[in-house]
Amino acid sequence: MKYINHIIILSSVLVLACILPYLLNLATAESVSSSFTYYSSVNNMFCTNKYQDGKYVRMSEKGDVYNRAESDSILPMLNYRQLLADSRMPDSIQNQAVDVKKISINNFFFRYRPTNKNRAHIGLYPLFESMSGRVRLSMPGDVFRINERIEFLDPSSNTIKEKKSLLFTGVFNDKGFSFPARKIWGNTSSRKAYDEGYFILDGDNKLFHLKMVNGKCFLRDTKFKGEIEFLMPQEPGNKEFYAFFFAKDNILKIISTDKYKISTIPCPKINFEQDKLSLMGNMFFWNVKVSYNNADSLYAITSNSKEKVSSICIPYDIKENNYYNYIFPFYVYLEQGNSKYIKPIINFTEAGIFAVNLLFGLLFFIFCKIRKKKIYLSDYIWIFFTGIFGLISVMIFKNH
Amino acid sequence: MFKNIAYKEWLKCRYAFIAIVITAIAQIVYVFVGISKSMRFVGSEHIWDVIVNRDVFLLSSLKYMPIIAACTIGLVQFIPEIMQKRIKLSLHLPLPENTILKYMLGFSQVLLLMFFACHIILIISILSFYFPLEIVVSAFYTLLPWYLSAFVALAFIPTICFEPVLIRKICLFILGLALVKIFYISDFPSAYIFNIVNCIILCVAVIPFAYISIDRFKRGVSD
Repeated sequence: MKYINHIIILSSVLVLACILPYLLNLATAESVSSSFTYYSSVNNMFCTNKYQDGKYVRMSEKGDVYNRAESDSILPMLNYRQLLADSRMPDSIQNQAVDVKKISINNFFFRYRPTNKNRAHIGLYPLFESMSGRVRLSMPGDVFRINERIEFLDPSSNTIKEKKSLLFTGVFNDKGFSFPARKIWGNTSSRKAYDEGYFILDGDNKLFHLKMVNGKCFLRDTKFKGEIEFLMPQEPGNKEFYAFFFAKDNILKIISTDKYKISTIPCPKINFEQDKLSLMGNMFFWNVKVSYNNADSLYAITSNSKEKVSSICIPYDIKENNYYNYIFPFYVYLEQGNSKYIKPIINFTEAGIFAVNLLFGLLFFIFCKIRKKKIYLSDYIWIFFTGIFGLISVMIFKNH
Repeated sequence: MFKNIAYKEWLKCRYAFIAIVITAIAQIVYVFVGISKSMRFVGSEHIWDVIVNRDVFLLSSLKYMPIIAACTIGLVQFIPEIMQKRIKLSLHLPLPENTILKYMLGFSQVLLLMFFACHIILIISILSFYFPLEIVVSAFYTLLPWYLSAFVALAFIPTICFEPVLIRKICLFILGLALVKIFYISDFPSAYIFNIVNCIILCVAVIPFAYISIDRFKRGVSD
């Protein structure tokens, strides 16, 4: 019977380890003011917009402060629409002629969150017609999956389109695709300027590019072979590249539209399981930003040669809540910010917490003496190892 | 003796169980008529698109049905036992007390397990008519934690009912609520796919909690 009571105390300890830190954070958390940093194509330095001493400030790396209109001029690649409306749009930047069309075609925004990767995906994909001749993409009327062959499913009847499936499977076999597919990546939304299909890692870790062109299967071996953790297809206006990807080495790479050439993108140190990445590109520079728990780190790289020209690190203004580590011996999380999955994670704090746990043990001893209760070793073992969680659980659920 | 105890428990639960079965079937019919209507109005392709690419879960209205079913069965089974402390009569049967409790708990757990098995088989069968295997599997993994939460709730009901001390009863209620909440943290499709084993371990681990309460009840513990 005492073993059952220990299970009750254990479940109470784990529940308290989940709830108490959450409640304390709810009561004491303070907001972190975020900043926006962009590399200026005009003065070739980073400019940051942020709240400082209660005011919204726009300033350069050197400390020059700008008002709103000046900031628009310093960052023309970002604020070109405002400059155009104010008739302040320059004719040339960086000795190159610029116009709105050129800027908008070359501007792109790419964002990666760990939750993009760490979530369940249903393995059904719509294969759009890439050369429909229409401005807008329309839904293809079927979805495909790749197991031992590629199969197209008709949603209206929930059946396999055998003719189309056989046609495409034949092309896959001719190109040396090894079934089943290990991973498939693509942009499944129809809200994009054009469609570049899917990138598929086959059974031998070879990367293939799949599209549907005039109803026919377009499948190309990119000649890349290796592990890919995650690949993020893009449809930039200038059609210079297909996708970004990374492997376990945490190096960001790009697949260009020039014969699937792969090159490395200079990027601040990143752990793709924990950190966020965003990339704002224009015709001159790409801003590569990695967001950590306590800071943003940015690189500015040239858009044509992909060479790093500048970098900056901006720490967050966070007040550390170190007292958590002196009260709680561990925390239990079920939800993590970097994943859509629910998984229990236990984070242990410092070893010195055992001294605080002895204090809780002493409190329990005094409580037992006042209430004239018998003292049991098992209760003290719980309190020594689980601290305040054990103290509360033992006081409520003890059953000697 | 098991058959006699099972029959006694069935007599307590039968009307509630029949009401639950009728409600569950009506709910399934309502949900799938709604899905069918949506498919006629916006097209099957759009429905598949919102499920696959926008993470919409069409069966979210079934979320609380398992736990409501478990609480209903648990309450109709154990509330009569604590009225005027009628459980004492059951504990005086010519069987070890733990065996009697095992039969009583086991009856409702097995009844619920059979009901949920039939319920989920029915849902999967109808889903397979409209959707491919990938969507059906995703729906199964999304529904499963909600079914498992019902077993935790069912285990806590006799634990709370038989506990003689009010303060500990309230604390057990809060503990039960917190443990059940674990299964409802996220509605994201297949969010619990890597945590199913932990959930099943939790369901099994809480089953013997009622033994502590009945032991305390027998001993007449008052603090």
